[in-house]
Amino acid sequence: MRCTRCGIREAVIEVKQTINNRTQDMYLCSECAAQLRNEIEYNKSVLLGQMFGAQKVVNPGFGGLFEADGRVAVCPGCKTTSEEFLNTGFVGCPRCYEVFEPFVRRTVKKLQHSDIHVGKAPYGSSGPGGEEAALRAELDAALDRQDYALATKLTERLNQIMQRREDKGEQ
Amino acid sequence: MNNNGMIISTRIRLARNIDGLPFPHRMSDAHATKVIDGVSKSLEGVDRFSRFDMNRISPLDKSILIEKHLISPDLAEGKLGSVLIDTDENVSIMVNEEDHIREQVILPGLSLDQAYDRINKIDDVLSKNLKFAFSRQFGYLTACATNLGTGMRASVMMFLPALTILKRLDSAVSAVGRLNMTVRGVYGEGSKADGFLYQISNQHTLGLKESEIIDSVRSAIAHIAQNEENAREILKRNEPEILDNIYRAWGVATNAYSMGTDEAMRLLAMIKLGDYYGYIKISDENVFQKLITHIQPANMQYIGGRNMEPEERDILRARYISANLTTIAKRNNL
Repeated sequence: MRCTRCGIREAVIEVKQTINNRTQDMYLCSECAAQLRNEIEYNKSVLLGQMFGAQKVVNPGFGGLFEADGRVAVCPGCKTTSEEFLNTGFVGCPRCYEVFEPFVRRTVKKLQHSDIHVGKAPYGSSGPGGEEAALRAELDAALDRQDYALATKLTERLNQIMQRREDKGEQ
Repeated sequence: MNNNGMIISTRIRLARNIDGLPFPHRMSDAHATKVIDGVSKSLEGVDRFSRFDMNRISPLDKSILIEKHLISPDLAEGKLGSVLIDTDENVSIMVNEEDHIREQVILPGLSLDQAYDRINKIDDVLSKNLKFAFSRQFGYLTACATNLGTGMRASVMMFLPALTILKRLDSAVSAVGRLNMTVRGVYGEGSKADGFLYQISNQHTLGLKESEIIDSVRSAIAHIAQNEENAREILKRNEPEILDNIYRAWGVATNAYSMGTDEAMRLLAMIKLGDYYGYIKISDENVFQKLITHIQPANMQYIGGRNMEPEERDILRARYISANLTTIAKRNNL
């Protein structure tokens, strides 16, 4: 299924959007989900109401992305919810890391003091971490200090890398 | 590093999962079978591995494997788990534990580089045959976020009697806090470590290269070993007391009629400390170390050749320890 936001990439996350008591499902790619997270973080008080209709926010330290029922993000592969991940530290399948990527990254950084792999890569992989991971870290840092101009450039660069990888048919 | 019998063994394990399949806590029987068949097939022709399926072996056999550190209690409890063990029992590949694959090598002494080299080669073979779940951001993808990245845990088992007796282990470990190590007792519950045996292992698996993890564990071990050495000197300042404790341990271990596991572990630990001070001479360190595994409850029954009640085991244990100790060790008279 195509991302309902960009209409280009494959959707990997399901988000329930409630406006004026009308709930609608959104299917987003990881890039758009990341962008959505960033928008929410900058305009949290406004957007939380608009996007998720949240009356009560659980885990506000995590960006306040979840409704009280914790069913905002659900992995389409194994049905694990973001709340389950936050409560247990466990995900249900490899795809969960893609689905919950924006949320997982912060938790991982707290747990591991890093969010970028620099070690061994499996046979046939084009290498660990590398440029993409470094760009993601830079993007995080730029967003943290609200340098939107740089964040935009970095996002474009990341999109180019992803596109290039898709063209090559890589994982 | 001068070992002085402080470093018992080195273990390195790598956590891996197969792309496209749910992790074990979410997987079906059919997925579990697919994983074990894939791993078994991939390892054909590498080393000679024996396969044990948890739903087919007896509870006693499971306990023996746990006591030998070849499987975890979690694997033994699950019905979908299997393990592949090489003939010298240095390599064990647990399948469908917390992750699809837990590759593990245990070698005697401080052998971090050798252990990694061996497990890395096996990992390469598996990687060529199975598509591992991997992302450029998070590295090897694991069921729990605490194992992401390298999926690697490097552990060294240390014998630390003096730091334990003097209650200085926590401060020795916290002094290397920047290296982010965890310490846990090998036998006994929680902080109570019968036998004064501890596993020291890396906490973080992401953001570090495998070689950096190995280096940080090596640094932590060197620091803790130096602290243990210093503590042993402090302990010896009250020589009459320590000498008496060690000779008493020797006396009970070589003469008792019945002995529980906890008591046996404490006595053997004191005898091993006696070897360091020269009060006792252990001629074969490896056999002594195997003795510690053999006296555990399940191994004791294996040696006895049948299932035994605890009282029977205790009698056999006392006899077994006495017979072995008098063969590989002797008391030096001062």
